[in-house]
Amino acid sequence: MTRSSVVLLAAAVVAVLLFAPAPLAPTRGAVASHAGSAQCFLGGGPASDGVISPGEYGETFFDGVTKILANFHCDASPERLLHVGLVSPWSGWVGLLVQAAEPMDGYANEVRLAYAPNEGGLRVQDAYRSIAEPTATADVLLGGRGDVLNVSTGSDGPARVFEFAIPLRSSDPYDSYLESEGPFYFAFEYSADLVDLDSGATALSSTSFVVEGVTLTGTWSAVEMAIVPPAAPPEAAQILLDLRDARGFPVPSAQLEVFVQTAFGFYEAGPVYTNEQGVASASFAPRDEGDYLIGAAYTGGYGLLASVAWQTLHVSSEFAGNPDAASLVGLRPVESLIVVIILGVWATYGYAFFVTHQSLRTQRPKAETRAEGPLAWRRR
Amino acid sequence: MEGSRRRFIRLAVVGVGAAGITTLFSSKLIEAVGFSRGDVRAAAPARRQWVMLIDLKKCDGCRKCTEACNTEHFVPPGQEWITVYEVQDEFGFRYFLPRPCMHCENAPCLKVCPVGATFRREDGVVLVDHRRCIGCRYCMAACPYDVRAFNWSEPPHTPEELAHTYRPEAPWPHRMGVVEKCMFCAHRAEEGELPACVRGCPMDAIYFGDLREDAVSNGREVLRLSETLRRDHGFRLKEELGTEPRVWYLPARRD
Amino acid sequence: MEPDVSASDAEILEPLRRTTWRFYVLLAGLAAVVGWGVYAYSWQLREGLSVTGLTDRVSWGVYISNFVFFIGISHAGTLISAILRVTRAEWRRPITRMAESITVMAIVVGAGFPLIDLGRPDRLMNVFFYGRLESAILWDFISIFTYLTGSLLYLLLPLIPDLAVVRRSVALGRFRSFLYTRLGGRWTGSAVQKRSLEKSIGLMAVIIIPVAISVHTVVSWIFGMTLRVGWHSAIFGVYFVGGAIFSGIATILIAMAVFRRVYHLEKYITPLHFRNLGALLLVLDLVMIYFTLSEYLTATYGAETRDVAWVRILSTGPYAILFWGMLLGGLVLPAFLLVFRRGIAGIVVAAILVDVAMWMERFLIVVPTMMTPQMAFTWNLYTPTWIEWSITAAAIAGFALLYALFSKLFPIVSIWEIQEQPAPAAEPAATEQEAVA
Repeated sequence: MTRSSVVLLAAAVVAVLLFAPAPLAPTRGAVASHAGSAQCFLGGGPASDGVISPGEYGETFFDGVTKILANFHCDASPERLLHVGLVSPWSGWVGLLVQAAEPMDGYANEVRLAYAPNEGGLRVQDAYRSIAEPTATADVLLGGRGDVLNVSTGSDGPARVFEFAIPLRSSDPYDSYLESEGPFYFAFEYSADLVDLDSGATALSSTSFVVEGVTLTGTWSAVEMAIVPPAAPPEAAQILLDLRDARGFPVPSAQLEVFVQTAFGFYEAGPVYTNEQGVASASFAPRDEGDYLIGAAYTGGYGLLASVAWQTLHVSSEFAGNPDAASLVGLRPVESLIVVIILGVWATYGYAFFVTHQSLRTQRPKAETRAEGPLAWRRR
Repeated sequence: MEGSRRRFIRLAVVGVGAAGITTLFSSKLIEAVGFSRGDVRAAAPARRQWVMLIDLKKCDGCRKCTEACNTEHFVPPGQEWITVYEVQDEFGFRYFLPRPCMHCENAPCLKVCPVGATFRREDGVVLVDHRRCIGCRYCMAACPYDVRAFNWSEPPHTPEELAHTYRPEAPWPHRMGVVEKCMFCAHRAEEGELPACVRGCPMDAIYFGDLREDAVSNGREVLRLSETLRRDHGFRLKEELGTEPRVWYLPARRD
Repeated sequence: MEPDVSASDAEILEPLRRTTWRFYVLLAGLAAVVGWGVYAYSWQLREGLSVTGLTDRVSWGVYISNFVFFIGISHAGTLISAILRVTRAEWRRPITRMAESITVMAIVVGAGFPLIDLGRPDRLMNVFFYGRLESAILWDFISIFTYLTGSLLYLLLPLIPDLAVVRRSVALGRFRSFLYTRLGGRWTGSAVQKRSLEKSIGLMAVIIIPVAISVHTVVSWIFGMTLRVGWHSAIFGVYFVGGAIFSGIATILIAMAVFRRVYHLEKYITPLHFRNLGALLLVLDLVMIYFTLSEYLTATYGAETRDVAWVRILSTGPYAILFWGMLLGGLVLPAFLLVFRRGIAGIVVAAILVDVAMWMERFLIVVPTMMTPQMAFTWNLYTPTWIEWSITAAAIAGFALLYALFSKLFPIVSIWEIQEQPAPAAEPAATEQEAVA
């Protein structure tokens, strides 16, 4: 397989925080800096089938903030199609921002995708947005075109895969026109749980990935994950990880990130390092039953591209709460006894009243009633 | 008369007996007549157990958390739903102690409420229904953490506050004669947002999260709660009272 | 079997026959004070509880103190009437009516205070709609309501024969005639009726004693069930009941002295009654000294931080004068008076001291505990405002007003009971009581 490169890539490390979190208001994930790189290749495009096979894309990298794995591949068609494959752990939409010149400032082209199985399936929007605004406007509404091609989706365990292509030399003024040499800037954003493409983003990747005309080669890698669930919480689950290169050989001494999704961002259960057999293990002790989304990522290095694995750990058991916390539910019989006592007191009142009342009624002479009845005062 | 007395006794015995037996055998009766403990409003949107962790090492006493909280909830003047106390020990060491509501698992305030206006959701958040509160202030007397505040007079309003529809998870507009307190930003948790005090803390000293997940976040990092508590000697306020607070502290550094 | 009013009992009916201008002046004065209190309360209704001196930290104050005090006073009726009736202490007869009526008035006035203290009195019905048996306030609602009903019944049952007497002996207006006919019009005094009445009263006397004890125990539990220093104490139930009976006896002694003087009842209310009740007061005084000693010694000996803070506030804080005044002037001094000054004057002075001291004791139970810091490190201060004092004054005036009206509507001494009494002079029960003292 020849890889003639028109647009090549380099390792541009941009660790600058390009966007203050404030304008992209709803940020909830942890914010971390990340260095990224992208590579495009000419040649046959990847198959748009919702499945990302090993080696299908020329460049792969992982964003530690959004936990999105992105695959890129450019082809030699006249439009210069950029094929993108995204692997996202989020149930909401994901977005890819593309910008030609400035590092994520001003306006950008954005492709947002979501999968809503119960509401029409796959949703796509080619949009245009100001970086300062959290929401995007569809190109078609602005008078442009929607030029997202070959869209497909699939699932990879708990993660969702989106594959699509965009023309780099688009004639739509609302798309970023990307010259072959670059640099181009990419960023990701996502909504954690909303499939409405007009809703605001939960978080944006803190780093843009710069694509420039420098060559770097790498081969794909694969992280495999296996989880041994605990018998019952709070015993720890064993997370076994295996990292292999394109030829299937284990990769030793590699750093793997392990993270567990929580209510407010990912808890980092790593990093862990692979041994001679390319195997690493981490442990995670859930406190309670439930489903835990666990991810493991290799961010690249040693001439290897990034890869990620996602799995859901299902733990079943009852959350007992605190057994020492006093509960008055156990006092029901006592409570009932008190109710009976109170009723007894009232019954005694009733009886005392009844006895006297009866004696007054039965002992009252008829004649006297007339003489001394309630209206006797009138006759006086 | 004797006959009627016998009639009364028979009547009373049957009545009391029936009432007693029904009460003894039907725990539902107590709920049916309104002596409800399992409050219907206890349902929470998600199966969470919200907790807070406050790192006293980081707190510099700037009281920005209180400010953020006051703004978020239109807290009536004079009240602080999260109060920052200045503590000084016998060696002259000073530190600051922010105190939100502890959202106790065994909440003394909840037990004493005569009308169930204070209730605990399934996710552990203790809320007050201001539509039901009669203002007896027994909960204020019962709270060991001085958390609760009372609207002694009609609180001043803003149009923004008045435009809002009241619900216990977002308890404003505020009203006179009821008891108020920190509600763990239940309305923000619904949206997947961290509480206002967490967001407002410039030192990132306040963490919030789910006890079930054993993770808390200050918006910058996610910590494993159990590990952090073990490593940094976490504690809770007045642990000896058995209230089982849902707010943990990491001790202030004494240097 | 019509009970006759012998000429010797005419004094008892005299207040019902004739009303002097002094009574109307008194009535007007009391009504004015009550009216002022109503005005103060209307102020509070409009402005909220911010017109009181209460704050978030000291959230209960004078109102709750008054509540505990008046419910305590209400134990007078129970003790004098029920306990003495059950133990067949015959000297009780002339004073039972006074005692029983104090109970009803004091409950009515006392039960009003939690309502005055409510932030949202308009939502009172929520207690019925949403009441939770787990809350001590609901225990209170139930026990006070039960106690009020029982006391009312216990007051009304012995009134029936007297009303028949009054109806026949006194020229009546339209209202009173209707009232007496409704309440006692069917009384003929037959043996069957008497037996039934005695039986009912005997039953009520037995049942009302545990009910009364439960009431003040439950009132104490409102405080005792919290985790606060100074409240969270197992002695609270008996401490409250003891204090209640103590202040109840003191109140009946004061009432006896007043009615004896104003209505010229010297023939019925004799020095014997003062001596016997004085002896009882002394017993309760010693009991209270014992309880107080237990309470404070337990708190200070171990010297737990919170206990020390609390005792320091009590003994040196802004209300230290009340604390020492209560201990010395309300517990120690009355004991001396009751031992060494056994005349009516000495006993009544002791009773007044006791009543004042018991109000201070209630205040000292409620307020200094709330002043003790739980989180912050400074004392929480509380100064009652004129609104609170006005409503308190109105409550005392209202209590007196109700009592004065009662004495005009019903014989304040039970006629039929003293008629059935054996010679009042040689009374074994009295000597027993003194022996206890």
